[in-house]
Amino acid sequence: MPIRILKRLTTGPISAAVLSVLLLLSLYILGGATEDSASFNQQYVILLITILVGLTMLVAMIAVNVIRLYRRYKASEPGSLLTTRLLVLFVVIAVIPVSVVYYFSVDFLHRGIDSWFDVRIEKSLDDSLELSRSTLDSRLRDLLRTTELLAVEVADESAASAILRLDDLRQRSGASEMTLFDGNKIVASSNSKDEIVINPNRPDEAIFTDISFGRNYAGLDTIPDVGLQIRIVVRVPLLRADLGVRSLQALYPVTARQRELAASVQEAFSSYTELVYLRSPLKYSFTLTLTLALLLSILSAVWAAFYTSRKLVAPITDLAKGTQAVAAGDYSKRLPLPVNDELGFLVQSFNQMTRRIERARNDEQLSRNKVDEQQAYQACVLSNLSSGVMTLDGERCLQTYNEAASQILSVDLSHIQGKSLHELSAQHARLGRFVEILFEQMEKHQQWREEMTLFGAGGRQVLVCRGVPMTGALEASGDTLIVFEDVTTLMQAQRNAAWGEVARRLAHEIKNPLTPIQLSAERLRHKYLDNMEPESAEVLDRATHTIVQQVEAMKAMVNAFSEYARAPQIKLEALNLNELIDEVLDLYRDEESDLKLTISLDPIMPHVEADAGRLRQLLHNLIKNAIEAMQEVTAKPEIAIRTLCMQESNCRYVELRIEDNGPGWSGDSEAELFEPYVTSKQGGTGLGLAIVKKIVEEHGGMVAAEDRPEGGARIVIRLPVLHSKGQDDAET
Amino acid sequence: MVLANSMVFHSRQRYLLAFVLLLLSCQAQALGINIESASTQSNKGSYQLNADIRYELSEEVLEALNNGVAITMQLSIKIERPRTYLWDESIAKLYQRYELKYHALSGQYLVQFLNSGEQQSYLSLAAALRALGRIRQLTILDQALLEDAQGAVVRLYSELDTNALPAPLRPVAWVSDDWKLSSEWFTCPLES
Repeated sequence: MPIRILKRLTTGPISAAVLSVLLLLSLYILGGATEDSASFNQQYVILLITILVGLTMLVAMIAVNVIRLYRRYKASEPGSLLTTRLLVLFVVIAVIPVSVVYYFSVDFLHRGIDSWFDVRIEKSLDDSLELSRSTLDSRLRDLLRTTELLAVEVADESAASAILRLDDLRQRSGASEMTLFDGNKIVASSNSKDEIVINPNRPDEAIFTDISFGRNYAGLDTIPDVGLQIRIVVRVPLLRADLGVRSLQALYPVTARQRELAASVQEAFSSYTELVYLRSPLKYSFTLTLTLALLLSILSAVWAAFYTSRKLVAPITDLAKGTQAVAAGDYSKRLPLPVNDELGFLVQSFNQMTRRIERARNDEQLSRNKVDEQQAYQACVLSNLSSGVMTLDGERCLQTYNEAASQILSVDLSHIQGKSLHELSAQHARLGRFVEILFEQMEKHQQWREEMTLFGAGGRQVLVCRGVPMTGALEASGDTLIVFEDVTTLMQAQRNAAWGEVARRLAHEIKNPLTPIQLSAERLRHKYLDNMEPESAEVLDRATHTIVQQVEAMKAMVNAFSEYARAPQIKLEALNLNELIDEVLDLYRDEESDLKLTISLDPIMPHVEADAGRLRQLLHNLIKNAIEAMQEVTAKPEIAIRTLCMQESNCRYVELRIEDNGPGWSGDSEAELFEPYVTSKQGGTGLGLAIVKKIVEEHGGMVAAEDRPEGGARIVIRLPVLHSKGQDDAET
Repeated sequence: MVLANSMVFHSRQRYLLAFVLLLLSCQAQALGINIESASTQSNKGSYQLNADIRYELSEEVLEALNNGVAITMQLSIKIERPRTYLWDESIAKLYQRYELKYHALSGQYLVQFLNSGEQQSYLSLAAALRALGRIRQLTILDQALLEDAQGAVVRLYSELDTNALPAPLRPVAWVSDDWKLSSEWFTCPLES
C-alpha cells in the first residue's frame, strides 16, 4: 500500500506541481528573508530545510523515474526508446537556457554587490569619523584640563564638606554630574537636577586602575538613562595624609546637536563597515538562493520532462502493443482513449479498425463453423450409408470415400486416398475388373449404371455400380461420383426365396398326386398279380414295385423340399455349443464303424443364442454329408470337429469347423455349393448344404466352405456369442 | 575468510574511533563559552542567581564584531525538578539576552541587556566580555511561586544567537562551526 502511494506520488502530476509551487514559494520567502534582517529569524533555517527536503523529494521522484525507465529500456519495452529520446530532448532544452541564465545572474550579482562599495565613500566615512574624533579630542582635552584644576580644589576637602564643594564646582564648570571617589568608594556626589544622588554613575573598574597608576581618563561614554556624555576622571592631588587615593569624575553633557551628529556619524560608519563586512556572506546567501532556484527549476523541468514524455509516448506505446496484439491474432484489444488530439484520433481509428477486423473474423468463423457442421453432417450421412461412395478426380485418383466403400471392397481405402485407382488394381488383383469397368464408363462422361461380379477369397460378389460426373461448380474438374452396392446377399436372398417358393409348390403340387399313384399301383398289383400269367405277373410285379419305390423316393424328395421351404419359428435360447456337439456325435460313435472322429472343443466356450433342434439338424446334415462324400473315395473316413472361441475386432463369435478327408469340393464355387439342388453326389437332393446355410443365417451367423490344403473339405461356421449382436458383415 | 572478516571489523572499528574523536574535537573547539560557576541564593523573597561565564570569541565572530555587527548572547535559565522515572518537571524558564557591539566613534564596546534595555560601555573587549559573564544577583524566581524548593535545580546554558545576526550572515553561521558558540548545560541546586 505505501509503495502504491509512493508510486502515485512519484508519478502523479499534481503532487509534483504542488511540490514545485511550494518550493518556489519557499524560495521567494527565503529571498525576502535575505534582505529583511528584522523578520524570519527562526523561519530561515526552517525554510532552508524545507527547500532541501523538497529538492531531495524531487530528486527521489526523478531517481525512481530514471530507474523505471532504465528497466523498461533494458527489457526493450515498446516506447522506452522514444521516451528516452524525448526526455533527453526536453532536459537539454530546459537545462541549457536555465544554466546560461544562472551563470550570468551569479556573475551579475557578484559584480552588482561589489559595485555598491566605493573607495571614496569609505575614505570619506573614515575621514568624518576621524574628524569627529579630533573635534571630540580637543574638547576632551579642554574639559580634562578644567577638571584637573577643579580636582585641586577638592584636594583638601573632607568627606562631609565635599558635597557642597562639588555642588559649587559643578555649577561653575557646567558639568551635569560630579562624583568624588575614594578608591572605588563614592565619597560625595552632585548632579544638575539638585537631587540627592543615590546611585551616581560609576566609571569602569579599568579606569580606577588607571587612576591608581596616575593616568587620567577622558572619553565619550554612553551613560544609562542619559545617553552620550563626556566622562572625565582625574586623580585628586594628595594634600592630606589622612585621605587615600581619591579621584574626581565629572560628566559633561553633550549638546543635542553634537549628540545627533556623533550618533549619525557612528551609525553611518557602523552600517557601512557592517555592509562591507557582510559583502561576502551576502553574495554567499544570494548565490545560495539562486542555486536553489536553479536546482528547483532544473529538477522540476526534468520531472516535467519525464511526465510529458511519458504522457506523449503512452498512446504510442499503447498503439505498439495493440499492433503487436493484432499481429498475434488478438483482435479484442481496445486501447484507452487519450486526450482529444491527433494521437487520440489515431487511437480511435485503431480501435475502430480492430473492432471491424474482429467482427469480420467472427463472421468468417461463424460461416466456417457452419461449413464444418455441414461437412460433418455430410460425412455422418456418408459414413452411415450402406452404399459405398467414392469420388474420383479427372486424373482417376481417389478423392473421398466412405466407410461402406472400404467394407464392400474389403480394402482399406485410406492407403490409396489421393492416388490413382491403378494402385488399387495393382494391389488387389480381384478388384482389377472393378477398376477396369469404372475407367471404361468414365470415358463416356455421362451418367452410367453397371452390374458387375467380382471373385475373391470371400467368394462371388455382385456389385451394382452407378457413376455420375459432378455437375455445377465441380463440372470443370472432371470429378466423378461413384456409388456402388453389394447386392450379393440381396440376390442370394431373392434366389433363396424363389427356391423356397418352388419347393413349396413342388411339395404341394407333386405330393398330392403321389399317394393316388402309389395306391393305384398297389391296387393293380393286388388285383391282377395272382390272376396273371407267371410271365406277365413278373412284369407287373417289377413295374408296380418300381412305381411304388419311385413314388416313395419322390415323396422323400418332396418332403426334403418342403423341409427346406418350411420356415418354422425358431426358438432361440442360450446353450452350450460343446455340449450339443457331444450329444449329436454320440450317435455316430460306433465301435464297429470305420469312421474316425477327432473332436477338439475349446474349453472356453461362451453360450450362443440358438435353437437346439435346428442346430442338431445342422450337425446331422453336415456329418451325414461328409460321410456320404467319403464313402465313395476312402476306406478310412475321418471327420475332425473343432470349436474355437474367436474374437476379431469388436465382434465375438464362436467358430465351428468340420473337416473330412474326402474328395473336397472339386472346384465348385462356394456360393453355388449352398444353393439348393447343387450336389456332387448321386441321388442327393442337393438340399443338405442349402438347409445348413439357411439355419446358420437364421442364427445370424455365416458359413463358408473351402478345400483343405492337405486334401478334403472344410466347412467353417461362425455363430455370434450370446449378448454379442451377430454381425454378418464382420468378415475380414 | 574469518580472518579477513575480523580485519574488516578492525578497520571499521578504527574508522569509528576516528569519527568519534573527530566529533569530540569539533565539540571541544566549538566550546567558546564556558560556565565556570553558578549558585543561587535567596534574597528578599526571591531566588537570585550568581554565575561566572567565560566567553571566548572565535576569529570570525571577533572580525564581525569589529566590523560593526552586533553579537547577541542568550542565557537560558531553566528551573526544574528532576524525577526518577519521568522527564524532569519544569518549574520556570527564562531567557536573558545580551547584545555586544563595537562603538567606533568612542572606540568602546557596548553591552546592552536586551530584556531591560540597560546599556553599559567598556573600554576593552575583555572588560565587556567579563561584564557579560558576570551575573550577579539576577532574580530568577519569586519564592512565593515555589512552595518546596527541595531538590529543584537550576540549569544554565549560554549560546551565541545566530538568528539575531544580520540575514546575510545567517546561512554562513548556519553552516560554519566558527559561529556555533555555546556552552554545555550547567546545573546547580536551587538554594534558599
